This record gives sequence, C-alpha cells and structure tokens, in this order.
Amino acid sequence: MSSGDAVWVTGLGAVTPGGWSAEETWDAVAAGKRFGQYLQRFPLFDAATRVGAPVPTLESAPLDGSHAIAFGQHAAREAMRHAGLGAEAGVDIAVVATHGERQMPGPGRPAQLGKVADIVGAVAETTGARRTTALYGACAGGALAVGSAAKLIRSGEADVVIAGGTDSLLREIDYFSFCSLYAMTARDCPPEEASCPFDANRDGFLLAEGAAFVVLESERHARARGADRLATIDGFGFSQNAYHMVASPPDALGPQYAMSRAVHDAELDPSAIDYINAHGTSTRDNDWCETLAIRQAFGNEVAERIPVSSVKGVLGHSMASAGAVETVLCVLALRDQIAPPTVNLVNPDPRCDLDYIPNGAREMKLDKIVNNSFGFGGHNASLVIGRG
Amino acid sequence: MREIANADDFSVVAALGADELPEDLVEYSKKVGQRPVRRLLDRTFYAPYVAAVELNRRFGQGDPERFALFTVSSWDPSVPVPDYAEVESEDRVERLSHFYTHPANPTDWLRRMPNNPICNIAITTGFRGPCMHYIGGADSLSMITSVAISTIADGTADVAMVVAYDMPDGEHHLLAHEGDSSAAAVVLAKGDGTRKAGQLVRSAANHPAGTTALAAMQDYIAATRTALVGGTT
Repeated sequence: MSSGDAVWVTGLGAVTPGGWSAEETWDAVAAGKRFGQYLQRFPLFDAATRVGAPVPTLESAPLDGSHAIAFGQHAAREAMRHAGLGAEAGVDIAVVATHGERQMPGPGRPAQLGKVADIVGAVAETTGARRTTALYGACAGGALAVGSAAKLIRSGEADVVIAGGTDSLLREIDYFSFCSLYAMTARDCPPEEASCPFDANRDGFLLAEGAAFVVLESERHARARGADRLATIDGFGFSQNAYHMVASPPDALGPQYAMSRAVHDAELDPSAIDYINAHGTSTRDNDWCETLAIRQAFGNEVAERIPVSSVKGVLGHSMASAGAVETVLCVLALRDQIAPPTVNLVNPDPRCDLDYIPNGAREMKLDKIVNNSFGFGGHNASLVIGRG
Repeated sequence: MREIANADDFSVVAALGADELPEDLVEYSKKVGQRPVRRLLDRTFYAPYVAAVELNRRFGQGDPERFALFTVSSWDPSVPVPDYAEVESEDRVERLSHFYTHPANPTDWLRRMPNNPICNIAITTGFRGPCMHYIGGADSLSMITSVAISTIADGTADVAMVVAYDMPDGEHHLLAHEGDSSAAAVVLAKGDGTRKAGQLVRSAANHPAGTTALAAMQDYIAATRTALVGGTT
C-alpha cells in the first residue's frame, strides 16, 4: 500500500439459500452442502429449467412484498450490528447492487414489485445512510459495489460505507426470461447436482436469491471507535469486455484485466495470492473463460499453484448479491483459514485444468484472496481481500 | 489499494452537452454502430450511446485498453405487460408464463437492462478500462465521478468518460421511438486544466434532492462552457 490508511471490513451480513446469516451461510459453504431443489414457488408450465435455490422458509411460497427489500434490510441490519454501528449514528454512504424485483402482473398487481429506488431506500433507512446510490453491474454488481465503496473511502468521500447487493430474480418474469436465453441449467439430474462449476457436464447456472452487505471503514475511523478489523480490502480491479452483451470473450482479456488490476492495485506480486474465489457460474462459457483468464493474469506456473473454487455449486447464483455474498465468505475463509470447496465437480473438463478444491474444504494458509465476479453487459470485477 | 489524490488535480478535458447531440440519433447510430449493437438499442434509447461515441470521436485520444467508462441514470428496468395480464381469466398465468418464456425476440429482455448502453458503447469504441453504471440522481453523478477520478489517480486508466442520461420514467414499457431520452458526457484526465473535475464532484453533490444526474451534468457543462476557447470540447 503506497500511502493513506487502509480500508477495513468491520461488519458482515448475509441472507442466502444457506441461511439467514453470514455464519450460517459460511458453515453451509464450508461443509459443502448443496441447496439446488425443484422449484415449487410458482407453476413452471413448459419452462426448460425446473430448479432453483430459494432462501429457507420461502421455498414454496414467496413473501407478499419484495424479497429484495426483506433480504437487503435483514443482511444490512446484521452487518451494522456486527460492526457495532446503530442506524441512529448511520453510515456515510450505502452502495446497493440490485436489479429491482418484478412479479407476474395481474389485475391491480403491477409487474414492478420492488423498484431500484425503493430497494436502495429501504437499505438506507435500515442503516441511516446519509447518501445512497444503486449500482447496476449485473452479476458483477455486488463486487463492484464493494470495490466502489472502497474507492469512495480512499477518495475521502466517506469514512463508513455499507456496500453489497440484494436480489430476488426467483420470480416468474425473470426466471422465464433466463429460460428464454438458455442461461440456466436444464440437465436431467438430481437438483442438488445441477450447479457443477468447472465440471464437464455443466450446462448453466442455478438461479438463487439473497443479499449480503459489508461495512467498510477507513482505518482511521475504525481505530478511533475501537472497531474490530475483520479483513482489509487491499485491491480492486474492474474492466469491460467490449465484446458482447452476454457471451464470454474468447480472449478472456476482460476478466484477466480485472484480476491483474486488482493485484496491481494491492501492490502485490501475483504469487502472493493464496486462493481465488472464482465467479464459477457453471455455465459452459464462463468457467473455461475464467480459467484462461486466471492463467493469463497470473502466468501458468503461478496459476497452477493457486487453489481456485466456486461456491455456486453450493449456493447457486444470486445475481447482483453474489459478489457481495462471496466477499463475506472470503472474509470468513480468512478468519478460519479454510478455502471452501467446489462441489459437484466429478467429471473434470479438459479446458478447466486448475486446482478447484473438488473434494471438500481445504485448511490452508490464507493471507490474500482474489474474489472474482463477472456479469452480463461485459462487466468484470476482482477484489483483493487481505487478512489485515 | 492506492490513495486517491485531490480531485482538483484532474480536469474535464472534453464535454458534450445534451444540447449538442446530433439531431437524428437513430440515423447517427446507424452510421456508427454495428448491427448487433443497433438491435440492442431500440429499448434503451440512443442518447447515451450517441453522446459517448460522438464525444469519443471529437476527443479522439486514448488507448481503448486504458479508457474508463462510467454511466449514470435514473433508469429502472421496465417490463412489457400484455393487455390480457389485466384481465382475470383461468389461463392468464399460463399465457403470461408462455409470453415471458418464449418472447417474440429472446434478446428483448437483454435490451431492457440498464447497463445495455455501457456495454454497447464499449463494443463500438473498444473501451476495456474500468467500467461501472450507477442508478440514481445528481449525488450518484458526484460519487461516480469520484470513482472515475480514482481510476486515473491509481494508474488504471489514462482518461475516464462519464455519461449521464435520462430515460422516460413510469410503469409503461416504451420503445426508443415512443419516448425521448437525452444525455451529456465529459472526459476526465489528469492535469490542472481550466475546468476542475473536483468542481463537477462538488456541484453535483450540492444539487437539491430530486435533481437528475443529467440535469446536474448539463448545469456543470453550461456553467463552464466559456472556460474553454473554441467551445465546449
């Protein structure tokens, strides 16, 4: 780090298919549980995909109101409590990644269930945020929100920022729209096996829902109030593919740039990275493209030494919140010195040829983690998270 | 993560106000955009795309690999709702499910994504630098401008473009030819120029709540227009 004080992570909160807290989620991920299930929440008619990963207690019936608001408020409240902050004191800024939330329209029932502004406003109310912005970066949104928040702290715009994402696209319109793009898994297998990152049989992502937030603080501010340092955001890199709205770039340059820029921003040698939390969606294209990008960013020799895993085999893909969920998990991995496994990796794909931690979590020395998130629209985001 | 320097060490080196957009946005897009890009623009309107591409044409500098791109708008993703959705009937849910699962055009859903312009600007210009889209008002413009400056300060980008745009608001799902949109854009670079980038950060933050990002950027461009000899760029 060249100058100035560090950006500390001082609070965590999450709602995922693994549970209604960061710790429950981490326990489930570290244990390699799997949350894919046949979707019972609404009639699927002739949809090709039949599976999803809903948040517990909402498997068969959704809430009347917006899930994104409920999850976002719950996770933000947990993060604030964990950081020892109350809404009355408030945070300087809330950066919230979300896609908004839609429902099947009907008489007196508008399609827009949760507008972006409503979702951001709800999180702001929970956290006492004095300034707010929404971030729309598709599946990279959560990580972009965290990186963006770190930059706002480093630029002197804020001392305390709550950043993360909340999304529930496990509603009819978005579920069916993903079906129309053939982006989700449709293969014939038990639902808990449907998401299989880096496996030769992968055929699409498992749509999930949830929220996660982290409280970020300037070191100066955190020290002054005696806050615990859970981890540090040491580097942030982001890029654009400039290639296609949804397809992964064959040259893998976009994701490569994001990782290289993050490691450079952290002023680290690539060999200093202990573990990579992959975007690893279980789609045909993402997983080999990400593998190629890791090789290009780190060089073959280093890339083959760094363990890489994707938690989406456990949790599925919760879209705008995924990068924030995985930031939370990386912080807990650093705490426990455990790299989570890639579940359902049974038949290796020759194009995905790195060490993906396939057979259960791995106890190992973890000081620096790269957390990757890539999204529709060509967005790439990588964070370097340090033990501090 | 590296320290971000004083925002006033950075300047607005080029600008394109909403009043300078080419008159026929569709025609302009046809000339500069590849067909797949143009197909995706009819739901997102043309103004942000045209503003960015035209400003890049006028500015004409910068390695695309190190050109950062930031966009900000108040846009909420809209959803097409067929008329029969409003009428209670036995097969309403099944018909709607089929409508969304098998749309007339499978890319229709992608066209409604608020980050559609940023993606298509990048495809046309080749920008592969840092890239981000905020949804919000004038204060979001202030914050995203700070983030844009930080990408130059930390050495990731040589220059950064910030595009602010407005879209028609409301529940109704519109096509480009059914409503107006507008946009303005600036290019930021290191240097102690006449127009301080910090001034854009501050002035956008000081606008009253409810001011759009585009209105705040347009105010800034108008207020500083005379600062450069020979016009706005």
